Amino acid sequence: MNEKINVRRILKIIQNQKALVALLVIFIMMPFLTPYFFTRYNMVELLLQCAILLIMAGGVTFVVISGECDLSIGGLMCLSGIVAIKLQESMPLFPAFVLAIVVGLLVGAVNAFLVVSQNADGFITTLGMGMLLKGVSLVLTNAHPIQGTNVIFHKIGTISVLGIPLIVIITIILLAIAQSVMKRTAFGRDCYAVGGNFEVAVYAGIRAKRHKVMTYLLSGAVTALAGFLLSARLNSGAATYGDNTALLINCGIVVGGTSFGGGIGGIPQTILGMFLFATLENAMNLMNVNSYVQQLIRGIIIVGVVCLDCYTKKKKRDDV
Amino acid sequence: MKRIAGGKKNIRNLVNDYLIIVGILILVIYTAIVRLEFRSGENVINMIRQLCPLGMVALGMTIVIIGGYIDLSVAGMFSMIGIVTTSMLNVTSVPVAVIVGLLTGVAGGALNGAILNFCGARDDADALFITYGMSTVYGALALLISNGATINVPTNSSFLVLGKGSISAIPIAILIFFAGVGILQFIMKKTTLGRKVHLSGGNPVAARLNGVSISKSVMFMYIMTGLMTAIGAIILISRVTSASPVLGKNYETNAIMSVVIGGTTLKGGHGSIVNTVFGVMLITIMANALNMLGVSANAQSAAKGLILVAAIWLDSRKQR
Amino acid sequence: MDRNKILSISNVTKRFLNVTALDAVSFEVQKGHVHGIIGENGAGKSTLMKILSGVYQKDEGQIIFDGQEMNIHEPMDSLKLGLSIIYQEFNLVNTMTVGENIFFARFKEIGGLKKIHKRAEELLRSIGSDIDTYTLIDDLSISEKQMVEIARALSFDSKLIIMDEPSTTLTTKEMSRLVEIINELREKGITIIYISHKLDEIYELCDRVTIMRDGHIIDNRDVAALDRQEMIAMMVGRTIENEYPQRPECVGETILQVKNFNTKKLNNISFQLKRGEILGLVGLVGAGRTEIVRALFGVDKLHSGEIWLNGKKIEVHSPIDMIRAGMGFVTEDRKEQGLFQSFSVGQNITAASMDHFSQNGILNRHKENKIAEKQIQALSVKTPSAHTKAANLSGGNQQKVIIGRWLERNPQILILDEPTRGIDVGAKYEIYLLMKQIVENGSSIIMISSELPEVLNMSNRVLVIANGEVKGEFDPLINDENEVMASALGEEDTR
Repeated sequence: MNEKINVRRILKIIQNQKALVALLVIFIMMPFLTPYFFTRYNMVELLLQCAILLIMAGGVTFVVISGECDLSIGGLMCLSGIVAIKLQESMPLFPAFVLAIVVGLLVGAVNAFLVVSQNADGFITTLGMGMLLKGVSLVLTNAHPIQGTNVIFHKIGTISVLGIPLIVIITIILLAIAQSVMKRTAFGRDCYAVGGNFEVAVYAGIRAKRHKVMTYLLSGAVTALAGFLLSARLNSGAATYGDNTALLINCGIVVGGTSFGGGIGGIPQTILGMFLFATLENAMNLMNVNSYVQQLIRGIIIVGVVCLDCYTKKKKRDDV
Repeated sequence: MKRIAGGKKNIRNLVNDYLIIVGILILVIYTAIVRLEFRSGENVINMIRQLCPLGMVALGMTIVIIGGYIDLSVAGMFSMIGIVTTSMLNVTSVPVAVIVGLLTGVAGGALNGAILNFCGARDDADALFITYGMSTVYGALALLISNGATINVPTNSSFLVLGKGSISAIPIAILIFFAGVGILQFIMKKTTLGRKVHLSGGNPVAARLNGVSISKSVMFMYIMTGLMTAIGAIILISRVTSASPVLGKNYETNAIMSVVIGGTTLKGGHGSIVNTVFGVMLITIMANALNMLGVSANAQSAAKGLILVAAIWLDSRKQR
Repeated sequence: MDRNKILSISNVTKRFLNVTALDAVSFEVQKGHVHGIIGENGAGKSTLMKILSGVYQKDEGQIIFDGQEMNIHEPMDSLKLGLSIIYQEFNLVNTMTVGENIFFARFKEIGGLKKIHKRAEELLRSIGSDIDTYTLIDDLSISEKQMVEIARALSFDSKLIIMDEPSTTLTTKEMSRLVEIINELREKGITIIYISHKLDEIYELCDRVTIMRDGHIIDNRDVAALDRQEMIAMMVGRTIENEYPQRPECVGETILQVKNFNTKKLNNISFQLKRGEILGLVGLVGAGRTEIVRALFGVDKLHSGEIWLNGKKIEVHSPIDMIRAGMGFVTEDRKEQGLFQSFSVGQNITAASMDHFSQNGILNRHKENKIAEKQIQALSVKTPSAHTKAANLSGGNQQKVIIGRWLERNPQILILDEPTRGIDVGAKYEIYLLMKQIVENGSSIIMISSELPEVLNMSNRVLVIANGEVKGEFDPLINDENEVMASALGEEDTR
């Protein structure tokens, strides 16, 4: 019996490494398609584009593994950047930063209230929240991008340390922290428990509802941080930065191997999935693919990824 | 165990059902008092015309939601149909263009249904992501076909009568809408097809065991949505005489809002077309009132997001 | 409190809104005993358990555990005190490993993943199980999952382990293993509360038994001094003389032939069904009975096999095909698979026969109501009206509604999967009468039931299914319960 289990486990691992395989394939193909891919400039650009998304994805991963969904990240990302920029006109940078994070926590709290306490469906509720936040962003900026006024703010977004952009360093540190929280703390393990089987988690004494609330708060704070950094890098805030972000990030998470059902996946998988998406975008840009075609391809990939997830579930079922 | 009836539960139900409606009515009454133009015949006719495109989409959405699924691709489909129809109008006769437009909607809906059936999507969670992705695909197709440009309807085309014309002061558009309401209400309440959609939404497993073909129901739901979206798009472009590739923006959320506010529950199995009519009316009147009051488009966006979240929240409370 | 008592429950009452689930319940459990709790569904066993484990809070009364009053507010409290419960549906996370499940949420205490797996392995070996602690729960059999649960109870140094209907899904060998383990635990000084509705197990395992009914304790007796009839009478509230109607005897020619069904779980299943016959399918849960009927009805995929109805071979791709061919299927789980809970009784009844009251696809409400009323009358369904929500009916009436749904189609073959599960004794009799009527009208019934007496009293012929195969065929007039049970438990191959 043990042998059968080992073979099964190996097959599962291979299935989970689809994304890795895809990534390797792309990396191998790229030099043939464009000479600019492996240049240092492009790699740095790639990391930068990825960085902000990776930070957010890291936070959202906790939510998804716990069995829930957070699609408000797009709107929140814009809003926190906008708040930071507006506030820096009248106060020093650090308090402005803190308040931006507080906004993220508040949003997370509202999400948590609606989804956990009021039993609303996570997807549609956070989708609605995202729209609300975007609307608020539009109001605050009057639909025009606003400029940052604090020199340090912009510096944070653009400075490099030893040739590596600060944002990338922050991303790496945050991801490392996320990974150790996931693997080594009760909170991280509880994600798998709560996402794996909610009732069982409750019976075992885990405050499952409270846990979910924490994941939403975490996701909110982390997204706010990412929004802050994005605005710092661009030195501006706009309500349009977040369009599609929620979709992209959630699909990146699923591609990497974390499932929407909850209970499986992790930070490495998320990193892999996001990297794959970012690389695709980067590659398409380099090859001067029409931006409309890019959108088409993005849409097809998203549908394809979710379909695949769904289809494998279907195949496992016994019924017709 | 007995069920309780009456008393506290009824008050809560009442609040849940009517809170938003009362809120909007208050707004409407306020506007009617403060702004004379709001009450003018011209404005009323205007509102009636404005209602139709959204109304059609919401009718289709009602069917999908009753069936236990959801269709987030209507926005992309709407844009795509608009572009296709106006392109056709510029090269061929009006009837042909209209038919092509309608077929585009049907094809889009059929494609949605086929993908969902292929994947064995069993509930709205799967449908959510897949249709969300399809919206991106259809939107991309709209952009590709039009190359990002807005296409104009040929001037003095007989096509314009759909959106601008009236029969003895009653806009043709609203006649089409009410025809749609009548036909769909009949189908949903009085035919086996409609009953099967209700049963599939109420308990998909039991429905299947009782001989309901889930895949046929799915195809029906999504094709109807595609068709209704097509009619809505045609009415709109007929009125505004042009089609932009992002014409359908926000239609999915507005439609869902209309359905939920109207009283149909997102859980599925129950609800009615007629309910949605009220929801659409409320949304349209509210938007009009806000315009009259000089509320900026941005603030309206935020308000709509807020109402969507509130509607979802109240709907989830109904389920407890 | 008596040193010898590990658990003492006095006057515990629990109410849910208008219903009193437990009414001044009192009893005591002696240390080192295997104490049985027996009662029909709705007797209050699971409510009592949930109070003991901290999921529910009692409204009144006192619970003394191991000399101390128990004041628990959440499940972890009782675990820490040394009281574990193994639920029928298990409390395991499928996506995590055995080791992680045993020490769920206690990583810090034990000190890391490696230590957890080591200790988990020790615990499992101590009860004679060789499961690899790195296996995912998803990949385990029911019996193995039970081992994991027991290991978990042991990991808390439990003094009292409550087992809720542990044998429902076990094979013979697994059941013997469980009995061994229970005896081993008893020798270690651990007290077991064994909840079951199976008299045989109570007699085999328990020292003392508490009989519950409708939220009350009827009596607490030493098993050795209690005879079966008395026990049943206490459970049910009256002496059952005529538990079953007279067996229908109207068997005719063969109408259905199932040849070589092979599915994921089934192995070359073949059998026949005759007109006017009640064919009983017996076996332990998990043996494959439901799988057989699901494959027959077109619900599950058939890898290979043929169905011959009335001498003609028919192709089956979905339930629609079988419904058209004249079959009906009353499923095991009426809540999830049978009823449209939020729909009316009438709509539930007419759900499978829309063609009876529609023309060209258009429904005739008037006809629909007539059909609903007809079935409600015919089956004596107790409901305020045909428009009442199905969810508001009692279990027995809900079952009648579903049966009525199929009767409307006048099926040639009606499949009943556990038709009287969760239904009170009075309603059960009514359903048996219905079954008799159905076959006397010329239809046939395939009946799956886990209650041997029921099957033996109602069926004309009994097939024993085990491990996805037909193990034997019996005639209730000739063979008795023991022979059939023996076959089901895998003792002989009597084909």
